[in-house]
Amino acid sequence: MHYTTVGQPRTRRRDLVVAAALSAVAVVLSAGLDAGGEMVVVQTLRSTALRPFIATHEVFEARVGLTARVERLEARADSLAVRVLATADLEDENRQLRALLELPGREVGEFFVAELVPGHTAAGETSGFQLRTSTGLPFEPPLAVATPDGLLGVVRTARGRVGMGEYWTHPDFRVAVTSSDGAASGIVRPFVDANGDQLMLLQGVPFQAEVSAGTELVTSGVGGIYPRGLPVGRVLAEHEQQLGWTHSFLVEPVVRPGQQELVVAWRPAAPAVGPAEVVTP
Amino acid sequence: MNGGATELRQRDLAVAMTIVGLLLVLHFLLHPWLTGLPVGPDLLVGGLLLAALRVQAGTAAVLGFVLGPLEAAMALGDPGIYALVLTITGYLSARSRDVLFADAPVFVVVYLFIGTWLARTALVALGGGAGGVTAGMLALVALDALATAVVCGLADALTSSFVRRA
Repeated sequence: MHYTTVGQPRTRRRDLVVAAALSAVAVVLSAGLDAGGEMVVVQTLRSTALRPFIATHEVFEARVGLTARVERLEARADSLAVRVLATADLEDENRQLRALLELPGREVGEFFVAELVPGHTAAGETSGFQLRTSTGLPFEPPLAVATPDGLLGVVRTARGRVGMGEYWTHPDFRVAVTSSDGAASGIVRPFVDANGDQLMLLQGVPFQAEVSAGTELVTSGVGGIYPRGLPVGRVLAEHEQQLGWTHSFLVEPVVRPGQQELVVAWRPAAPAVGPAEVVTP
Repeated sequence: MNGGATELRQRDLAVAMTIVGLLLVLHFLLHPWLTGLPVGPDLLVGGLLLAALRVQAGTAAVLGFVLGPLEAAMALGDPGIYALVLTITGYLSARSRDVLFADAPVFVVVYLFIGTWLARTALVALGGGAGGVTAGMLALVALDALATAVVCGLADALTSSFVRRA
């Protein structure tokens, strides 16, 4: 077997130029493409050169994991049915109270079921996923993505009925949260502890606010990307990091990225468009 | 004058590149399962390193540049970063072969281990993925590199023995 093909000096120079030019193109590609551009490249490759492989994965997963998937979905449907029954009464009560107080109807946005395709990487943990709608209708990002257990991530770019999203483990992920009793609020971001475990960090909690271990954190709805009340995590302990008159807490997430297939995406309600207010002098 | 030797060399190259091609096809075919394992071989980087043993450094760089975005599309990562890391991996691997290579199976295994470890560490560090670079992550990358060295080293040894027999 011949391994060695030692190049001539002229060939070596040409090789170096080729490698340098390609590296420069790669750097430009990385720096110049925003999330939307990256999505176009990724989707184009997935639907052309990688299509036979991805189709094989889908066929294999659909056949081999069918029984396990049905069992998981049945269990999830049961737990959702229980939850729906429990909240029906509350919704009715809420409507009646609002009517008594003469408040307008509460716009909660729209939830819809979508299929999540996780990214697979051999290098480290992936923080990206694809989201596909089963309805065939296109969607507008940003969209909050959750499982029945809690918040999973956000879709930032979309093209047709496919979107590219990031799990909460993505370094840029932030979400405004509040404790379930409403006593404390802050911003949650991903955090890796000294053992390499992926956790969350709750920052910006006012110094005087009391937050005990085990406190449940839910989305506060501030910012409009995430609906109010989605479970995010549970407080583990106070963290040493203090920023000004605030303190931080380590948080155990309620949902970890994995092999979720069906998820729920949330689109905020469109702002009400009423007649323009006429201001008379 | 050297027609026979050139023909032999071309046949060796064709067989070797077929094996490398098979490794790459297997990588994309088994991608979800290989990446789902706690420790598994990286047939893409292994295949690129084996190809770099047999082609010019510029060709290895082009191969890395083509494979990078394909891997990024599977990982839903940044195509530019994957292209950059694999282009440099291809080029430096071919150049290191020119400088360091000794025709011994042990060398191939060590070369595969170091090459995979460096390429994967660079991808983790530049990719800015979840978790970032931690000691645990580097240990896992080293184990993956070991698995890659064993599997791809075996594929290379089988190729060599097949070519010698033919």
